[in-house]
Amino acid sequence: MNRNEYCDRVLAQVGRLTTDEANDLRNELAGHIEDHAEALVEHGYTEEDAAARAVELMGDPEETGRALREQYRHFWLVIVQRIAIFITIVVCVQGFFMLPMLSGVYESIRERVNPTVNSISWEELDGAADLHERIPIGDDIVQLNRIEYGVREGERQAVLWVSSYDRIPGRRVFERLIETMSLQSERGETMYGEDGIRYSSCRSSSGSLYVHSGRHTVPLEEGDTYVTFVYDRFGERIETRIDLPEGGTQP
Amino acid sequence: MKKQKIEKRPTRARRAVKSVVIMLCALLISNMLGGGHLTRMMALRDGEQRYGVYEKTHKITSLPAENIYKTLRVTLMASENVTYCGTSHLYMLLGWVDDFGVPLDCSDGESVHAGWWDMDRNGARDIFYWGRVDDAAVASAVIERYRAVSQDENGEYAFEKRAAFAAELIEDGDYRYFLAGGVATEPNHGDLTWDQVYFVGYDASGAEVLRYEIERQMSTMFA
Repeated sequence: MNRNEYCDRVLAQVGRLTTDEANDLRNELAGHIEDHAEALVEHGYTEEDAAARAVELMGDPEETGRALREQYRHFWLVIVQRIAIFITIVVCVQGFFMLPMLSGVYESIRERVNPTVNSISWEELDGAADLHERIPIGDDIVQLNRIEYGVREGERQAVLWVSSYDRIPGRRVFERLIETMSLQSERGETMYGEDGIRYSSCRSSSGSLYVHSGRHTVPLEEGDTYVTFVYDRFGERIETRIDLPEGGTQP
Repeated sequence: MKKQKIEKRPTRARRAVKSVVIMLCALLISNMLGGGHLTRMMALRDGEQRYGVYEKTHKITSLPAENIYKTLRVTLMASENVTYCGTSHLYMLLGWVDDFGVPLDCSDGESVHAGWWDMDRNGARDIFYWGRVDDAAVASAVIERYRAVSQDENGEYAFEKRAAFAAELIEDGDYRYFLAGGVATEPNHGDLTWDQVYFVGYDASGAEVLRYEIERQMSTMFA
């Protein structure tokens, strides 16, 4: 029996092997036989005799194969590995086309740290304050950024700056979330409610798939001390009371 | 002669676990980046997110819209307070993507919530009607479409029935749903104005018990 025959008989006993596993096992067995043969040559054997004797010294190939079978059980693990590799390749190809969306992760994180607030003009500013409140709504978050109130365009009103993003940076936000919310006075009044405009206190929001910003306005009366920001949709109502701040200036 | 160095191969379990972990990381990153999804249902859930449907929904039924894209399906999803009609199809290399969707707020206690949606792509047109019926008296239903045929001096239109077809009611828990439609054989408007669409409910004896005008919720021109 030569080296190749020995390896064949061992592999026949091990069970189901992948090509790589079979090659590795074959190389390992061949390596052991070569090591034995080398040692025998150093002890005076001819190369031919050393090769034959080395194979004999490896023992019964069937017995060796049965012992090795323990290490190569559960072929289903190989199938799991192959499926996982296939899915990973598919996902990587998909992900390659989605790399530009990494900007969404950046936008979302930036809005948390440095929110968008544009300044507006007031005839009389009674109070202003930066807010650091986040309202979780489903998978999204509405962030209250700033409130100012006073007299503007001849009317007493409060203005609230908000932004919205998904709680996981980089995921898409409901783009109409800010508009569907309403800013209400102590009396439940909204800015545009009487006009029958679809969104009662926010004309529009702007942004990307990942972050939206907008501004809500509500009419006030002298002596008002708070306003309420309301989400009321699909049977879920979330009210957030915002106290009107004393003092403060525009940034 | 040098001893041959044999590299010990990791066990099957180790290799499988490593591959699965890498796969899960890739899925997580891909999911975060958005865009294509591995399954249609994942794409629909992404669409729900985009339209602010936060409640967990489940699939009621779906219909093909092969006229628009070979793999496009209109799927009706529902939860206690929301009925969501979404579309998705398979983009080569990108995976399943959600196209558009429309949620209906069913929390207001009304007996019917419904909508219709027309789709167009390169001249091919489909139209779908969907909704939820909370009126227990309704045993069967028909969708009727009316077209304006004349207008009087006050600007009022006179309508004539153009089409009528049965809407199969699908029971799901305490509610019943319907999804109907397909290839549109004619435009959804006449020369005067848009067609009117009605959901008409009949009781077990065949008497009409409900007539609800279904409004157009979405009109989509696919690229």
